[in-house]
Amino acid sequence: MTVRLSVTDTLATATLGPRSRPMRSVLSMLGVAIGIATLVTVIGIAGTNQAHTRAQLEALGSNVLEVTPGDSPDGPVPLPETASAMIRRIAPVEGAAAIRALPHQKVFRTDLVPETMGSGITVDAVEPELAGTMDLSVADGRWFDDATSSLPGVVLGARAAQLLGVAAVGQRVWIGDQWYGVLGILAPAQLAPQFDMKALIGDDWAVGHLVDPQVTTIYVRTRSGTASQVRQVIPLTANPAVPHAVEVAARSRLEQAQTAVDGSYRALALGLATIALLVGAIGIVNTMVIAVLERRGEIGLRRAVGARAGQVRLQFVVEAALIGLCGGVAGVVVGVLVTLGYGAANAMTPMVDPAACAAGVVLAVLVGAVAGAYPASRAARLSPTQALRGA
Amino acid sequence: MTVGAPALTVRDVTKDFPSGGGTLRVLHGIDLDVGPSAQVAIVGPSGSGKSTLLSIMGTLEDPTTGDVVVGGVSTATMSDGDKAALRSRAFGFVFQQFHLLEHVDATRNVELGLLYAGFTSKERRERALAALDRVGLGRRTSHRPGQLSGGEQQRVAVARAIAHDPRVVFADEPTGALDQATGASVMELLRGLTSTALVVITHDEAVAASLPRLVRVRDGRIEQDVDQVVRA
Repeated sequence: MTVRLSVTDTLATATLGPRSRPMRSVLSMLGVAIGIATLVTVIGIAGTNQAHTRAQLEALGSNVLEVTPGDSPDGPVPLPETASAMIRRIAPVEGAAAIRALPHQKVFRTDLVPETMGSGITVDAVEPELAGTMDLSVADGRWFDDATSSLPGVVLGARAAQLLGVAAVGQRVWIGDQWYGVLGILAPAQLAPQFDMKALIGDDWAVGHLVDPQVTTIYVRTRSGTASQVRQVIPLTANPAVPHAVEVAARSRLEQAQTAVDGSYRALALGLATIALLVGAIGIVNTMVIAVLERRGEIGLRRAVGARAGQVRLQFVVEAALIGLCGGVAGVVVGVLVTLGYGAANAMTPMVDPAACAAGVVLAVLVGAVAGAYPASRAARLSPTQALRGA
Repeated sequence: MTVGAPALTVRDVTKDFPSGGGTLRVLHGIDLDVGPSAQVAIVGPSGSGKSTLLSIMGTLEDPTTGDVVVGGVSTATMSDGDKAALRSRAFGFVFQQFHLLEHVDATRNVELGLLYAGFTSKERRERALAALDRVGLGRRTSHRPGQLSGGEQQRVAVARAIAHDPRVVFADEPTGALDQATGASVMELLRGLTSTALVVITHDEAVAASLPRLVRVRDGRIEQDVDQVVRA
């Protein structure tokens, strides 16, 4: 003969307390609201900062990897010809290009300069993909395409062109033992300043006409945040036969710095949020214990009119969970607003994490329910007689 | 005395409370029958055990030994849940301090008495309004306790106690917080409940004299159990 209250009745009963003491209910949900607001805000601000920092670091090249041939016990192992094409097929890779350094080739304005005089300009044979991978743009003329890559043409770095006195496309320079036509002149390269002093010739031409040009470096550009993953996959992709002879280096230490920054932001966020939620939970426990004391008469009465101890307990647990829910929703709203404000104030794109918001609300409800458990069981154990008489 | 089977029987009930290092016996072997339309005043000085007796009769407290039989069914071995269910259907309570919810209106307060008894929301509302009408508050159904006088609040409590047609209405010092005149009119209301048994605890001799049966309790024992002529 167990009579259960309907969901509507249970909720109506549980909201009686908060509705009759609105100010106190607001104060008790404040703790949880602050905790969840902190969680959402810290994750939001951390995410906003992270995204901003990452964008800055990427502008400096932290998502660019350099792949170079390494050694095996039998001696140096060259990178296979197919390596750059295979690396391009790795999903998070946005671009990869092979470079063959040609240290013995010297660049001169005319064929009359003695070989022994250097100009400081180095020559590399490059795949056409280099421009996209390293963000090289052409100030004058054109970059290589598949056709011109197999012709004796050269693209000069910004500084190299100045030194050679080449001002316009169509002029010729002397590289090694023949003339090359200037196809294009690069703008100063922000991401890879070493190319400012280079003369770049086509990969296909070099392979066909120069002696033994080995791939010396493959530059790889990865999608934001995937550098570490790609780095692990590159050796086997580049040289399946001898993967340990493939060296992969981060463009600089910036990648490690970024990982460290990510990690410390996350730890900070979780630490602060946990503390804040704990404080919020204590607030709810406190409020509910007082509420149970104050409402002894009501509790005794409910028992007198037929409420079971379990129903009394449920009433107070649900009440506490509802306080948590309201606190959680309020906290999420505040957290989102603060994150948006932070982004606006710092001219960054605000990154609000919807998963954190949803988790915040769920967490708040759980915190409320757990916090309410102890006061609720005290309420359930009250002797109806004493509760009625003592009130 | 009693007509037909008793609504409620107290059978050899004793009650001990822990006190100091040992126990204090508050009730000594109480036997009492309450008929289906009996109206009983239980009177005695403070400390006589009458309030404890009411709690035990109403299954709000368990006796140390003995039994309370309601409608022929023993409550001695009932679980908390079963006793709660019994109270929800068979008993109504009126208290000295009214124990109304301050922040809801009279109708809702009366509905509270029906909440745990399995009525639908619609049934609760209908019964509550009917009960309020019966106690003379048909025009006050939307008032909150703060907007009602003491006597009116107690009437709401009576309405709450009878809305589900209980077997027994227990009243613990129902006039204790009311003045003489108001108390008298509440007692008149209670006496007018014809289809239930009524058990009233009181220390007020005048109130006791207004009911047809008097049970006098002293030091945890029934000293006297008599029918009397009512001087209302």
